[in-house]
Amino acid sequence: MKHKNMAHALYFACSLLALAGAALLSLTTGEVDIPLSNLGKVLTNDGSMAHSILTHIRIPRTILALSIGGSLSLSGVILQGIYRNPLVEPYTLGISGGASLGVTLAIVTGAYFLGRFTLPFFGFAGAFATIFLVYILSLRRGQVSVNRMLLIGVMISFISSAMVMFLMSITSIEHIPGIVFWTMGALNESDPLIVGGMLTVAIALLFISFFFAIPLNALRTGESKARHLGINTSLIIRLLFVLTSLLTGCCIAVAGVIGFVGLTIPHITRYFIGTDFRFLLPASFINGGIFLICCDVVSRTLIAPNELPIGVITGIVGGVTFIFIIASPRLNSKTSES
Amino acid sequence: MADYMSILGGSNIAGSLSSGTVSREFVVAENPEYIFVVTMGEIGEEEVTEWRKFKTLHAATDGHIYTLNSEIACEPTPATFVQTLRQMHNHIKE
Repeated sequence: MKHKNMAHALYFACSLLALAGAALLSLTTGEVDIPLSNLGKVLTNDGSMAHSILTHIRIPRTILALSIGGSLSLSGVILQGIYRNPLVEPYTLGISGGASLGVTLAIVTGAYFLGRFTLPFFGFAGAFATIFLVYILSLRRGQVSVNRMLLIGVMISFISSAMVMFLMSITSIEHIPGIVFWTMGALNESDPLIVGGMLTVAIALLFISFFFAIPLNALRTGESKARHLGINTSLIIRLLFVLTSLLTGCCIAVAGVIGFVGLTIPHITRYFIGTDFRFLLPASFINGGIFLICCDVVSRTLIAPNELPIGVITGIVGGVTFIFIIASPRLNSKTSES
Repeated sequence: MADYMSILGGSNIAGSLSSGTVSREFVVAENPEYIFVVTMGEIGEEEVTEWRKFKTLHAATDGHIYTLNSEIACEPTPATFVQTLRQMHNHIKE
């Protein structure tokens, strides 16, 4: 037991170091070269171009990548725990589809009544409308059917996608790039209120999720056995569903649709740290942050000065990693247990 | 856009690129004298506000960030091409 605790402590120390390394890489890499040794000097030199790039572009991007990557990964690991299904991620439940539909509606109708907060607002509203719909349709005699919830989520995702295509086909051509770029995801938001708000939500919900680690461990044995262990599974599932929906809704509202983080990172994290949710939840958050920060660096530098949408990078890297895990029997046996 | 710029005697900082979206950092590093945001309405205004935050940008400090109507600038006919050109010329003359 002592040996295991030491191993976990060592793992967390290494992953925090990796997170710091990824953040420094993100702050120093880009179109303008800012060497690590000059970072402190640049931060204090208010009038320089490098300072402007650091404060308006790279620092907000790094914070967003950490909070959004962490949140999506945390949502993924919780949902996989609830559903005991390794293929579930926040977007499987139709949340991204609903958010995309909300944003598309805002762009097509030109309803910019909230200024720069309009698209995040519509994204969030779309995500929450979907969650509400999925939840209501999954209820049977006051009980939530987990499998029904999953199937309805997948169907709503398809319907939303078809609706987005319908709106794109009838709208003016100038609206289409906005819709397409939003659905590919971006970490361009630099408003301190939005960036700070996202970080606060992510850390607050990570903290709250710790209180659900023991029920989630019990749910690994199955809903029925967890109930016999004294867990109010129905309430726990509802609360966790709200928590993950809130996290995912915020992520989509701020950065658009960034797929595969919530699917792949929990699998990789389980490989390293096991299936105990007391360790799995924070480890997934940190790994999600590291992954999205690195993907952001790649999206900015791969074909510089052009910039790739981050969803393209997470889709390719996440998808290939997932296939590698599934195809490898040794890795699959260690990671597939939700 | 490169055609509009060259006719007006300037050069597009992204003129040598054939495709894709350039990063904000690239624009800040190139430090253009004028920025034309080719979107109207709220999104265009937001973009202008965003660029004004960069105090080292010549275009921002000199107040040379303008919006152009994407419907006429990006889908030019002989008439709208001249219309856009005239609009840009008026901004530069200011």
